[in-house]
Amino acid sequence: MEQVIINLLNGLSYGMVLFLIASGMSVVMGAMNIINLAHGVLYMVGGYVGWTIAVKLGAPFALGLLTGGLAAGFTGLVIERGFLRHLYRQTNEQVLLTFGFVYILTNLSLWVWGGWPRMPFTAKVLSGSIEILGKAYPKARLAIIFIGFVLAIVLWWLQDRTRVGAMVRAGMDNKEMTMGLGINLERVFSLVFFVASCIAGVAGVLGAQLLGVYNALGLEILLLALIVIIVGGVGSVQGALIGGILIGVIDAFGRALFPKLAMFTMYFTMIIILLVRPSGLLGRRV
Amino acid sequence: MSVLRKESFKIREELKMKKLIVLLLAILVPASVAFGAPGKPLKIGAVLNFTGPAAMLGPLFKNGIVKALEENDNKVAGRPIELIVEDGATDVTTCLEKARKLVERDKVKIIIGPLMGDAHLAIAPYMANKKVLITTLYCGDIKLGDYRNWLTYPTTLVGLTLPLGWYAHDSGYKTMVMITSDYAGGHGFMKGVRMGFEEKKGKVVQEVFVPVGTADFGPYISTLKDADCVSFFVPNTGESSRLITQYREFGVKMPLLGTTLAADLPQAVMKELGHNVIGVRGQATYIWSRDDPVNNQWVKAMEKRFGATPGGLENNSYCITSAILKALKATGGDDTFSRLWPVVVRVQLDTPQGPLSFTPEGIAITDGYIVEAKVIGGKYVWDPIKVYPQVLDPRLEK
Repeated sequence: MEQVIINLLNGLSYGMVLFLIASGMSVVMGAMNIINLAHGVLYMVGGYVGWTIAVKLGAPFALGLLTGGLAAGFTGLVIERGFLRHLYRQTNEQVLLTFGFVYILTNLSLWVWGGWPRMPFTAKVLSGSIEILGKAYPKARLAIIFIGFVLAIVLWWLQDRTRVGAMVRAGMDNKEMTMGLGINLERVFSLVFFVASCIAGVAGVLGAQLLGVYNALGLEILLLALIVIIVGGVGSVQGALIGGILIGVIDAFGRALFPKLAMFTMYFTMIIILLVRPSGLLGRRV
Repeated sequence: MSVLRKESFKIREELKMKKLIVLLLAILVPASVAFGAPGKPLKIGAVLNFTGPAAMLGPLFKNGIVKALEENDNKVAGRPIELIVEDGATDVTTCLEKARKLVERDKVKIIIGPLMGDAHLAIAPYMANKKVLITTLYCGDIKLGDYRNWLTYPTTLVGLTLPLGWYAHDSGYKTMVMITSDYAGGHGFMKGVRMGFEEKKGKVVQEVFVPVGTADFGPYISTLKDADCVSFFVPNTGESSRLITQYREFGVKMPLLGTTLAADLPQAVMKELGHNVIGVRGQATYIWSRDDPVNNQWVKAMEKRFGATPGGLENNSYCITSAILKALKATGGDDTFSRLWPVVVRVQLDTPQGPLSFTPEGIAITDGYIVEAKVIGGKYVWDPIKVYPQVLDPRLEK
């Protein structure tokens, strides 16, 4: 029984990191029809900046979380305002451009922070473990689960209970009509892109408690985010949450019970979802 | 008439002289090209990783090569050496492409690297076909010895980690759990630990395979059975440090024995890991603090040249390059494979790591060290606690 609980918690903590990285990317894909392959490196940028603030400079972890998020947010805004806004509805060009930014930002991070990976770090109050059913369990992982759920509620509230969220949903449904009603969708979408990038950066710092930060992380985490979006559905925070938790838990149990098949459990899940429900669990039906 | 005859004689003699000169050139120039005329550059290629998950290792290996070349004034037998370094990007396909480029476009006959075991196996048939002398940087599969063109340094995968298996038993451990990275190199390294441990009647109660690039070891750690110790190999610094950190976070008390930690976790990384790394033991190919005149001089020279204390990675590339240079001196700068190979496998050298020699298959015979992570004088160090001299893969003794 303890094994089941421990692996469930492992899955939830990993799943929360996946949710946070995927949620922003999913909303941008749904609202703006932009496939931002640079989203993974924004996660990495957030992690590196958070490390610099919290570890190198010895500042509080919360400050690292904030600055990591903002650094990723502003980087994302530069990409969107400077480049992507000229390529709306040009999917191939968006993919090429954002993939180019993957290489640019990865090599910039190599130049700034070097090739050595940065170790997992956390707040002093979150270091160490507590006892759960007689087994030691890291406090940092419980914090990731808690913060992940809080952010999920905040994002859901923003999406479903605020005027801005209504504008975003309206823009997803009918862009021309929404603009015809006098709503400056371009500004709204820039805000969406900024917020999504900030969340990616925050995810980078939170995820660094588990994974550390290294410059191959951008591409690795991007692949996982895409799997979560496919499973959960495009354009939905709730979908990203369900997708993240499902993939995280299946991955954790898959690794514990079938370690030799650990490489495939996520992909099996994705294939099954694509066969049964191609738009994803909570995605808009095609 | 006699003036005309004199003129005619003079012209004939000049023609003869010209023919003689042309004939001499026709013989000497091809000969000098074939045997490496003094002055003609000797090209040495290197496939190292400057990008990808092992990006931090390429510059360290390069430092070792550069130091060995500089100690020989960047020339051998009067031939200046041209070092051509390519980035393997920690990717098998890229390593193969770069190796081909070195052979086909740059016409090199000696290549140092690549690092990864899967890359070795991928490029081995091509290199054997092209008769290129090629080396590993941090061990290699015993199969490379079959090709008879590889210098496998410092030894085979199994030879490297045998001492850790022996040591586990010598420390009083009777049972062991193994965590193995699921790729060719991982299987090879941990095979050596198992062979050494079981040779002394130890028992491996569980072996957990983890995919390369595993980010979260939590699910695996939660399934570990009870044993006297846990040994592990995961490639690169990132995975090693995540495993150690998460292992400690989950409160597992079994002693940790890591295979390649002394190379993967240099001082700066150990400092960041902090208390998590203290007490972890591992195997090392080189110890910078080894008190030996050759080593002491080399460490000082490396610190002066590159501003940092060298580790196993710089040592590996330095030693293998030095061995090749010694062989090239013996061949008079002739880098053709048929001349160079029989000479290089007979090289014997006193290196910073200790005595170095090779088997006829090209597998290096070197000392193995067991080390423990400690804080000494305020510095995080890998402190040597045992030496196993001149370790040879037992499969080669048959």
